[in-house]
Amino acid sequence: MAGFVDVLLRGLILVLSSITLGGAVWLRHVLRAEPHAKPDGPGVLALTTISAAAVGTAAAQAAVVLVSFGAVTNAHGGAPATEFFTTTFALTATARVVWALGLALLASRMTGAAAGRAAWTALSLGAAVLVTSSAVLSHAVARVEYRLPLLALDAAHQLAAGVWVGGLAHLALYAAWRRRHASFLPTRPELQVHAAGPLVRRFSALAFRSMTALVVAGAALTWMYVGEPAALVGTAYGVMILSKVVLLLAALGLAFANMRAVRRAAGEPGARLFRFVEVELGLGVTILFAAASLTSLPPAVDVTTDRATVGEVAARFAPAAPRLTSPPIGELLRTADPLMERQITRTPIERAWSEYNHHWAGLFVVTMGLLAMLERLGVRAARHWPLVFLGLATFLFIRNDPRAWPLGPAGFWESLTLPDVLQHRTFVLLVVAFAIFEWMVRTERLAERPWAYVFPLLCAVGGGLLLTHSHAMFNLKDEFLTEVTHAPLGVLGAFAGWGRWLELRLPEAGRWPAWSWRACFTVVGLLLLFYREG
Amino acid sequence: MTPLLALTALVVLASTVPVAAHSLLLGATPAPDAVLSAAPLQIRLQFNNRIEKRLSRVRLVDERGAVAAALIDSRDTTPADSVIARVPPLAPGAWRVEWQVFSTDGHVVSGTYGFRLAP
Repeated sequence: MAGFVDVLLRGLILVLSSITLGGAVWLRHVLRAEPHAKPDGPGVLALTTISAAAVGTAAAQAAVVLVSFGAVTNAHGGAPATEFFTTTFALTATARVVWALGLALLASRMTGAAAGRAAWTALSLGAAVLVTSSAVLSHAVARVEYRLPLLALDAAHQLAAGVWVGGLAHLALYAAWRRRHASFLPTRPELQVHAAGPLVRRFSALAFRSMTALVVAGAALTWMYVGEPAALVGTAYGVMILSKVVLLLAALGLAFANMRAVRRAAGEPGARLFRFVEVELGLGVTILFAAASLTSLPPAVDVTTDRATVGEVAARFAPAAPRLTSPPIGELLRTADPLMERQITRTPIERAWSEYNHHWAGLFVVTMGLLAMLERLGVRAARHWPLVFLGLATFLFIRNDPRAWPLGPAGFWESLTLPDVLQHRTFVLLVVAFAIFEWMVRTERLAERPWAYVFPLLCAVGGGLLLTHSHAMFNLKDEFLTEVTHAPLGVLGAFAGWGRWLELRLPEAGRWPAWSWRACFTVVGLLLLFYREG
Repeated sequence: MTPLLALTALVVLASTVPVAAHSLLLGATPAPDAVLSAAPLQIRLQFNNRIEKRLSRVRLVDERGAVAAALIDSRDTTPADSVIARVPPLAPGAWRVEWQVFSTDGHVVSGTYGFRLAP
């Protein structure tokens, strides 16, 4: 649990600090805010966002320190405060908390006054230091060899990512601001300096340079942390890098489409560009969370004895007849560890039980994907496909924790004291709520806007969580092979979510967003259907 | 207030179990599954990254669960990716080394391995 929370918090820090840096760059290089001039509407919006993001960074960074100190305290059976708070990690993290709060205060003060050149420089440099100092909490600082080059590369990689993703966030906020003030903008000639066309063109050029730097630094880091191509497939670290690359390629595709649209557009960019920006931002945020998950994994170059071969990984994805008959529950309960004790190993019958669960879950998801396709083809009755989620939720409730009620000896309330059972049951409740919710949208019992956005956002967030969650104990070969399908599931979940988002937000984009998310959904079902643990 | 409570709950929940990944044990003396003819005077562990020695712990557990603490000298001159723990006199039998380290980038990692001391 600590590993998962740590990754989530580190992902949050990457996103929020990127918004801080992206905002500073956005203000100076895109909005071209000038010193000694009081910020106008877009300027105030960007400064307020920077301030809020910096406060969020400070809070998340403080939580990372507390989680880490809690883990140390738990492991030591005491609280070695002096030893802990004098480590490089704790000193750097604490300094970052203070630094982020200072930055928030500066940005907040700049919203209401005409700040001088020194304040603007401090804002830009301060945001850059906030982002790059994250390298001191990364793998780079703990390496024995090539520590300085790795720190420099990591800092450059994060700087470029911050400008790109943070800038996208500010562009999306600016688009929302323009929509809100559409009627009032023509009456304010002084705001014409922020006409969307030139502004987007400036951002596009900036984003292109950032992504180039991101890819170059990322490639160098991959070479140093992965070592050889086989490690990209045979280790959790490598698979996560591949997931990032796939997500980045999709984002690059959108960025390229945006750049072409911007260059072709003679006047103001249309809704298409801003919708693509929303999706590009979503993919960028997912990439940052995937990057955060890398911090909890040993670099692939170090995993030599527990590395899987390409053939072993490929075998996990090879289609085979699904297991549709359950192993006997009595035998499972006889051989498995008691629920309330820590599980040390997985027995063959536990693996069979898990495969059976995955395969039936896959059938449910494939059914939903196919029904959603039929709905798209005009079969009206198929619009009830979200109700299949109710079947899935019931199945998961009964089967997820066989040693707990209703199948096992542990009582309902007793089993809820275990974090993993509590997580599973909370997830089941969410699935039920989501099924009813989406069904009400599909059958027009709830308005499409804003309620239809819940489905794509949950898909995208779920995909991202799967990427971050899939490897809390992921360095041993067996564990890696068991969970190797989580990475493509996470990527497909993110693609499904953002495909549906585009379908809703940009109907004129045509058929491909509608079909893409349905296809991703169905492939997720197929991956579950062919899942295997041995 | 609610976000603060949620954050507190998160921290408490998250702190209950140490992180179980990240640092790798690359080498150990005595080696895993080794059979020794003489009791070791020290345990040496080498990891894939730098660790904070002051926040690292090593102990030995015998077949009956009796614990023998191994003392780490945080000022030792071994490389930053290694620890040496001085071991008290051990009786013959099977021993399990339980280690737990804090890596320089802020992860608590733990693991175990066994060796046997011949009579």
